[in-house]
Amino acid sequence: MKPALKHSVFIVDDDEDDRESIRDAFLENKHHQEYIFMGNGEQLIAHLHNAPKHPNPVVILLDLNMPGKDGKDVLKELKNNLALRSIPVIVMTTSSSERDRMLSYELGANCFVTKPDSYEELKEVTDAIARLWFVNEF
Amino acid sequence: MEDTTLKPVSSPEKLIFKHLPRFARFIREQHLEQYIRVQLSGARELNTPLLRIFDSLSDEDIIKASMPGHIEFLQAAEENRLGALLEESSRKWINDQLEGISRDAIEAEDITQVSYLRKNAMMHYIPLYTSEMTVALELVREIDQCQLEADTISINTYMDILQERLEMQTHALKESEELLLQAQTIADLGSFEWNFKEGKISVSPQLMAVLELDEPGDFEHLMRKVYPADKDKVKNAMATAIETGLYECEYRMEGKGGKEKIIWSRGVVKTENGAPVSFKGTAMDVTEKHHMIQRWQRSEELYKQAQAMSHIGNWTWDLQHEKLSWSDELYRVYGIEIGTPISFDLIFTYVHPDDQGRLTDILNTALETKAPFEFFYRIISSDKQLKILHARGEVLADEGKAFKLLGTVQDVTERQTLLEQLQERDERYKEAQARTHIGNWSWDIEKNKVTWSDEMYRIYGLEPQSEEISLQRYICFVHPEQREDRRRQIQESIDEGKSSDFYFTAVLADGREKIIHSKSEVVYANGKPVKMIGTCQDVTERQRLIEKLLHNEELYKQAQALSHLGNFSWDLRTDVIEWTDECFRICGLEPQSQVVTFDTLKSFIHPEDRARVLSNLEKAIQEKTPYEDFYRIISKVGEVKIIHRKGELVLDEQGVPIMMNGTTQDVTQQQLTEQQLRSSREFIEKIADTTPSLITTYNINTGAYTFVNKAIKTILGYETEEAFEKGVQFFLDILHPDDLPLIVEQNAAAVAQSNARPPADGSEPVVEFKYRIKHVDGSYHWFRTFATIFDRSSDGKVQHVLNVSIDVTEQERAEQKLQQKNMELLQSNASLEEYAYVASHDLKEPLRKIATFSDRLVSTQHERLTEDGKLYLGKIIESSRRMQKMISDLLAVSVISGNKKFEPVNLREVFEDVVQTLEYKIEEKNALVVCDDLPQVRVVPSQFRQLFQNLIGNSLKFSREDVRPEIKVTHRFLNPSQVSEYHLAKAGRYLRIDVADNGIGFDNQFVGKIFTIFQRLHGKSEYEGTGIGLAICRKIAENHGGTIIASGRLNEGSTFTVIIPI
Repeated sequence: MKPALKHSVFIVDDDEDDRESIRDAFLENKHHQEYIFMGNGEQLIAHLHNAPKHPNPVVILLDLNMPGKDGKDVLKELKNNLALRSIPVIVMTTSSSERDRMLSYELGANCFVTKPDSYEELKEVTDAIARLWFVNEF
Repeated sequence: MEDTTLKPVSSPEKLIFKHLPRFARFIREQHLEQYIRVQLSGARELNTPLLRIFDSLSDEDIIKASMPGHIEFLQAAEENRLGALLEESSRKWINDQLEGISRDAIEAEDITQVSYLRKNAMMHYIPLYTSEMTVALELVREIDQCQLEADTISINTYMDILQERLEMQTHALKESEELLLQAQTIADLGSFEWNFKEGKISVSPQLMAVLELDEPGDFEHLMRKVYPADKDKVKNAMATAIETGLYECEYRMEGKGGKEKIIWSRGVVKTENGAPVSFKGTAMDVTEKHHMIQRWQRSEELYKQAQAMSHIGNWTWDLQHEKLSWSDELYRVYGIEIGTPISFDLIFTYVHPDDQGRLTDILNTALETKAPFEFFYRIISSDKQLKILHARGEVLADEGKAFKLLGTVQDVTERQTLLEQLQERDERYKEAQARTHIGNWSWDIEKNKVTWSDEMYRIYGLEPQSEEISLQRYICFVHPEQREDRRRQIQESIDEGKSSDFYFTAVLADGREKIIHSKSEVVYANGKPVKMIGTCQDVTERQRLIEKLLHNEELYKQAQALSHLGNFSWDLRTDVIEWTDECFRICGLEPQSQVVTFDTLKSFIHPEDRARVLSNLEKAIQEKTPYEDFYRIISKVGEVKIIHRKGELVLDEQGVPIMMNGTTQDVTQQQLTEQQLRSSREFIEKIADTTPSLITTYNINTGAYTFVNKAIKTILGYETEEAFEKGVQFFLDILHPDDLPLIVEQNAAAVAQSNARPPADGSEPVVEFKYRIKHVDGSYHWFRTFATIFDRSSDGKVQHVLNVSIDVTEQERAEQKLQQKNMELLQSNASLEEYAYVASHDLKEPLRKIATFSDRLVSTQHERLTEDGKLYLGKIIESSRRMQKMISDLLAVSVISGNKKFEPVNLREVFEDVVQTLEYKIEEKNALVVCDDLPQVRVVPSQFRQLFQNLIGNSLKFSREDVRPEIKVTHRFLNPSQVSEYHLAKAGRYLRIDVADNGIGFDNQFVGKIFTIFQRLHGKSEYEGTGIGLAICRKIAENHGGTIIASGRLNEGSTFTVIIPI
């Protein structure tokens, strides 16, 4: 059996460390996909709208507190776009606020995750995400 | 004599008082002894004559003795029956029934002084009795009135007594005069002749009658009757007679029935060749005269003055021997050493130069006419005192030749004014009377025929003998009101054969009224009254004058206090003013120390008042009006006093003022009191005007303002006149339009309620309003007004409303600012919390990184780490984790007070939720967690959940190892008084929840610490947790307006109590 094509996993976060941690977490759990980094919302939108260099992502891990366009606005845009709204978006944020959680779900987020404090936990979370969305691994 | 129409009447209703009764009772019950004492010491100061009677008694005794009298007076005042008491006292006095004091022992000065002292004593207690100005004023007025009335009654009585005496004496004098006349007209004096040669005494029948001899010639018999004391006198007189040839002797003998007879005998001894041969003489029974004079003298003695009892001196002037003899008192009056031989020259050196001529004239006249005389004259005594003496005398004559004058002299200086005038005028008028027309009349009872003399006709305004007079006609002349009395009197006279003497008012045909003095006698024949004869005299003028004098209120009031008001008598012709002692004293002079003229008077007047006073005096004299003035004097010793002077002019026949008589009163104290009262009133007015409150009263029915204080100008800039002019409309116009409708409504409601329910206890409720009023400059000021009912009309409806308004603009502004600040604070609080949230959130970020990377470090590098390295790394990780937790906790705490989303929540459900959440732990510890039927309350559900979770979680955490953990949650309700110590938010009821466990407990001394953030009682290694749990609980409790408290017992358990208002 030929190995399936790698998924694109968009990690949208302005924090470099966080982006790398998340990727490392996936990788350490042997989820070898293609992890694309984006530093802000505009980049994401631009990429998705214009000729994508990469195919549509299998999942978008979206941070909320970003400079420029806020994660929520991005989410909103994504979900209001006919073409894009089928892409699962997982909000991954430092915020543990109820309000952010509610709002995210209202705006159409598929999942809301507070960035865990420990790496171990991060690994658990990413593992769960992978098992859910990385279909090429099943 | 019944002169009831001629005296000022004191009306009993003038002695009914409003405040005096209670005040009198107050004095009697609480201050009696001191009140008496004050009067006693006052009496001593004034040297009240009456005190002399009590000379031998100690003060204490006097107080005791006088107490009943004072009590009687005060009680009478209490029961408002002073009128009755005073009348009774007067009656007793007149009838000489006063206890311990004879009727004549009381002098005018006593009356007025006692009254004055009593009034003063009473005034003394007014401040102790009341502090209300109006009551005090009323009381002063009543006490004054009381004194006035009492004095009026007393003076009336005194005047009666004096008049009675006067009449008695005049009558007596007249009688004795008549007797003397009689004696003289009886041609034969009793005469005797004693022929020594023949040894025979022949006695005229008259003499026999006089001497009561049964037969003449019995000298022995005669001598037997002579009083033993006088026997020597007689014998000596005889011896002298034989020697000198002249005999004169006055001796007493025992008359019929043991009565004393005084015989005056004169005779001549004829000698022949040096030997007495005969003794011829006359003897006269002068008993009556003697007795008369004695009685007269005695009563004159009794006739008391302001000074001592015996200011009457007797004198006799023996014309034959040119000898003047004086009694001791007369010496004293003149100030001459007793016993000094008296001559007219000597006397005249003392007599006032102006009176010397008159005195001489009177005496000469008396010698000529041999009529009794009486006159007043002034002397200047040895000690330079000006005295006024009242001399009386009568002439003894023998066969038409005067041989002796005798009489009395009385020092009447004090008594001078009214009484002297009265007597003087009386005498003058009596003299005039004697010279004027007396009408005679006779009434033949059987034939009922009346005969009148010419004068009678004239008196009654008829032409002499112009018509027949009958009894009925006569009665017609009598004033209708007196007719009945007159008829009765006539009948009585006839029936009882009495002679009568009385006054009545006659009304003439032309309507003129005259006062007639009528005397009559009944003539009997064969035991039957056949005739009535009498005289009538027109005494209108005299009576009118007495009336005038007596009626004249001013003079009468002056007489009232003869020795305390200073009296003055200013002779306008000579400019000499006669002053009583008090006038002298007021000016700081020794009484009677100098002759006073108008200039003297002027010199004492305060320079600033002089012009005014003099012009007022001038005016009164010019216009012949009564004079009254208040002004200041400066006494000799420099004291400034306020004087009240009143005077009345006396006009002569042409209507020219010749005298002013009046009184002077030192009213300095009174004026001071009035001034004080005035300043108190001014003080009150000042308060009303300076207070920053606006005070108004207005009539609810007319809308008119009855009082507006000056604050309306000072606070709002409006003139008070505007308010008065426009009434309440003025207020409505300046009320802020937004506040107007509400205020009008509230006001109407308040008034309606007050009208509906007048307060039972008389206190009116105070209603508050708040509104804006426009200042005259257009700006609005906030006012807080307190309104109450000022008075009600007689039917209980609200009449006047009193408003007191305070300018609270500043407070309003401050409050508004406060509210603003509060809002800002809340806002800033909100932003702060937001900030806290964001800050902590951002703070957490790096911590998270620390945690994650340390984690990765450990997992990827742990083989290369030494033990130490692992240890250090572990500590770093641990610390950063703790920090994260703390920041989370802080954040959690900070959001608590921002959450005010209260909802009704069933606490039991919350409890069960929490139990579920802690299920794992509960099972693990096999804990028993129960609650009672927790109620439903309004809380923030999430917070209360947190609360329960923390508390129950704690209990589970701090459980004892060896014991099954039991956690009980109970509740009960509390009322505000039970939670007062916690200063919670106000509510009607409070909910108390107790979470009690049987865990490790804690030492109560740390109870303060456990609720503090991050404070722990145990080390980090023993129990986990940052120590924020209880701080959160407290914050939650406070957010609900409540509190949380804890108590623990080591190794037994802890109880956490939450109290919230519900």
